[in-house]
Amino acid sequence: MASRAEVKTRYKSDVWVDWCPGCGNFGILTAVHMAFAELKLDPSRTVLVSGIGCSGKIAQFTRVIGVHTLHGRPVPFATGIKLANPDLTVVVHGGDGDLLGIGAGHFVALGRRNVDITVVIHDNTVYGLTKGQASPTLRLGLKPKALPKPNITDAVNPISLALASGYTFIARGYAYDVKHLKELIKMAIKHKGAAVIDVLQPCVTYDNIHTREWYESRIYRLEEVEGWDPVVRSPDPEEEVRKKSQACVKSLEWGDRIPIGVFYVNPHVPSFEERIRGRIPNYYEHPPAVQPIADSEGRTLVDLRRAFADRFVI
Amino acid sequence: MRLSGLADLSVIIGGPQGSGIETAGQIFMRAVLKSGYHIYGVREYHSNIIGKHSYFIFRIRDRKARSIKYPVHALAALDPETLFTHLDDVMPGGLVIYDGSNPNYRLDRVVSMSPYLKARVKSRLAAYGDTVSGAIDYLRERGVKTLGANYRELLRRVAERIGDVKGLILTRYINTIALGILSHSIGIEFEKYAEAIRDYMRRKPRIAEHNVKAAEVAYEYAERNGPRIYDLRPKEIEGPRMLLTGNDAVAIGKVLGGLRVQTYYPITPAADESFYIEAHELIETESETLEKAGVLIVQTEDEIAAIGMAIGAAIAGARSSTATSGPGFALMVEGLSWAGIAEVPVVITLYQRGGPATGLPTRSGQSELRFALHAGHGEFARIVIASGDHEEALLDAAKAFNYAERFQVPVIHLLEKAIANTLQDVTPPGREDILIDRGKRIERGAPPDYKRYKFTEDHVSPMALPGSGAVFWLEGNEHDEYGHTTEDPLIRTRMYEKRIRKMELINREIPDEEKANFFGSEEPEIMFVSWGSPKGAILDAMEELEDRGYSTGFLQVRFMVPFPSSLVHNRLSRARLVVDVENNFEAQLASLIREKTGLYIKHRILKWTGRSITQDEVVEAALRIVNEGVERVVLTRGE
Repeated sequence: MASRAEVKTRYKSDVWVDWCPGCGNFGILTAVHMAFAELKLDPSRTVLVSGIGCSGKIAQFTRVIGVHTLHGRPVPFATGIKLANPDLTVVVHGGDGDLLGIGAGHFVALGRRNVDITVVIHDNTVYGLTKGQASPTLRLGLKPKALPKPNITDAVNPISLALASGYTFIARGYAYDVKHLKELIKMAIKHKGAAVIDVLQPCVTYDNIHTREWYESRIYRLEEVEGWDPVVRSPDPEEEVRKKSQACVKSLEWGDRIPIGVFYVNPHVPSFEERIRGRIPNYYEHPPAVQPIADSEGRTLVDLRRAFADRFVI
Repeated sequence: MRLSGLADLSVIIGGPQGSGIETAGQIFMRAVLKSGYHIYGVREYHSNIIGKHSYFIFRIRDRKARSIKYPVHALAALDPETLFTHLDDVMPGGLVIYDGSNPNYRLDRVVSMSPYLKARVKSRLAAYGDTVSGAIDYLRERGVKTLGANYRELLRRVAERIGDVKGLILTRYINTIALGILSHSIGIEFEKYAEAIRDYMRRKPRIAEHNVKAAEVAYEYAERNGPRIYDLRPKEIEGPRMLLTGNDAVAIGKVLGGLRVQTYYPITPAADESFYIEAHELIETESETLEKAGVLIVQTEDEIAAIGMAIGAAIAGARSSTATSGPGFALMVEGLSWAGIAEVPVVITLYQRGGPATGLPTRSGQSELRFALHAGHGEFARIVIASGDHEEALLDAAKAFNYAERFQVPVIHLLEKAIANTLQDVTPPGREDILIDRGKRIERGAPPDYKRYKFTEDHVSPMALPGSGAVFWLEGNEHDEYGHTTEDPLIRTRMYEKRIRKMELINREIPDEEKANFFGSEEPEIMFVSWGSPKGAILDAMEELEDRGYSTGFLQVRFMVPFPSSLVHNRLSRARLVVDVENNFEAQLASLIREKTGLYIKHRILKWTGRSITQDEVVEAALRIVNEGVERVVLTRGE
């Protein structure tokens, strides 16, 4: 058995972690590394795709294949990687700005496709690396210390947006509840379909409202609620409506009490990869990324006359 | 009209968008090919689904047909708008086929026509009356033959012959009738026309037979009433031959070249390429282990996702690309820049249309050369290829992946609507014509301590795939050999240089013969220089000018990056008169030539109406430049 310390460091890269001391990202990083270790992920078959900002740096700090993309675009990059080689484990890390602001369209599209990708939202209500502007999860009228005026734009609700978009695994974690978050990440990775975890994460430098104390006096675990069952147990449209409705109601709970845990799971929706296999039967055996395309002399493998017969007139 | 010698014939068929012009044109082109001739068909249409005027202009030749030429020999007008629109497009001795059932139809009733064209037609018809019969008088006075077939009456005969017409929309057969009369008038045998119908509609045999019946009615009618204006006697043509749009050519070239993931967001005139691939997502191969290869097409939520997903697929190891036009490419620019710094082999097919913004969304243009050269923030290596016709487009689309993977750079393949939506018969390449080179790719057994951005002599680092055993980092920030971010000034200097110095290798390894084509006399009186779709019109104009006693040459630039500077300099600096021909205002190629060679090209033939440059336009403009000393000729032909 590997020691706890080893589990924590096996997936750590050699790059110095330069987040502010006390940053919520540290908790997320540890949870990710522990989840990867417990799932025994092959670092060369695991791709961590990140966006831009403090959260995006996580790809550099982790010893799996890291792809540090553009602001807002980790989801399309990750989708391309996964669809070209469905054998890979693909995890997206982005900030709330990345995923719910500039990249919100991609966030919605991933749910609609239900690609087998795990998305972790580093949700800290501010744009940290540009010095604390309001992010898409900062509520109307709030004024964290860097803002010259109270926020004039209202927040988006990541959980209900994920529900509306079609994600089939939806959860919320808390950055400093590392063990709980680790379990959520493991469940999300194991889930076959688009999974999202909204991680509440204090920004110690710019958000003096949503502090560690603020969160910890409010959050509670859904799994401790008597009778809470987020899973659609059978492929029954009525049960799906019921489970989605209860998740939606829970997603609106914000104030004195804030739920974390699993909101909704539906294992019955075919993933995008399965939908592709319906059209390309050998998709899993010969995915686009590792298909032979030339013979031993380098000539194309495609038989033009048979493949494009409809364009031959003579 | 010609009854012997070389065939060279132009015809137009026009009618309202959505009335089946596309199908009719496809059938007509097949009939011509099956009769043993080459064909070139340019499709013009509005940004509209149903109702506005659209047309095909065809060129039929013994030899390769590669441009359009006005005036045409025949016009088949499905509606009065077509007749009014193409009033001056038919030559004396030519034939106009129109609906004779309503001679009093007034120009003012054509609500779909632009007021500007209407005013021009009105002034032309001032002395004749602005009705169908006025237009016919106008044509006859100019020596044009006219044939007013009563379409309704002919449709009635078609209905009789079909028998049970319940549920059929009979007006759909007007196309087949009008084109049947036209085909008869130029000497296409009925059997060829019928064979073309059955061939094109082979999935709908019942509809095909209805159309054959309509063709019978048309041929019988024409036999009794129609003049013969041309004699396209059937002859043997060397097969096999494919009939392709430019979109088809690129799609096929890509799949032959190993494309396995294509992403796209719908946009004219690029979307048909992806649509065609999607219809052929299971590809027959010669491989023993892989009988059918899957080609994945993903319709994305926007073009930003299209480039991002294409990059992702390339990272995973698939040959991947995206296809778009100007507005979509504008959204891809940030992703392009990322592919540049992260050294990802991705191919972008950019079909130019009329800009800026949505400009002329369904028309052509060449105004994005500078955009393709400079798109992206920061400096990085890229390749920009511009194809001049369908055969080039097919081969370039395949080769683009070799360049992308061998040099690990984004490749932009520039085309135009004038190629994308134009049909041409193409000699299919053999398997030995499509050779695949995947560069320094590591699929498995990556060395320990693998470095994705290792400094190497030729500046290209071995590229390991996920699953190869390697762990690596791909970065949009400046990075070291491992791909770890760094702002170290010395690493920055070296890594930046590695990325850009690749251009020297690229320039060396792509031979000059690939980068430019030269045609014609070595020391001509008139030296044309151009790129892309004007190629065909220039080549045809050269033949005409040679016939008139002018020696001509033509330098077609195909690679914009790496630019064949010394080749261009050598060719042009010796030339007596250089004439730049482009579908844009700024003469962007001329400006690039000046930048790369110092040579200033004073004489320009330019067109930005969104319509193709025609053979006759090039001839007339060249003669004005040579004989009248005009420096800049602006072209406007074509509705």
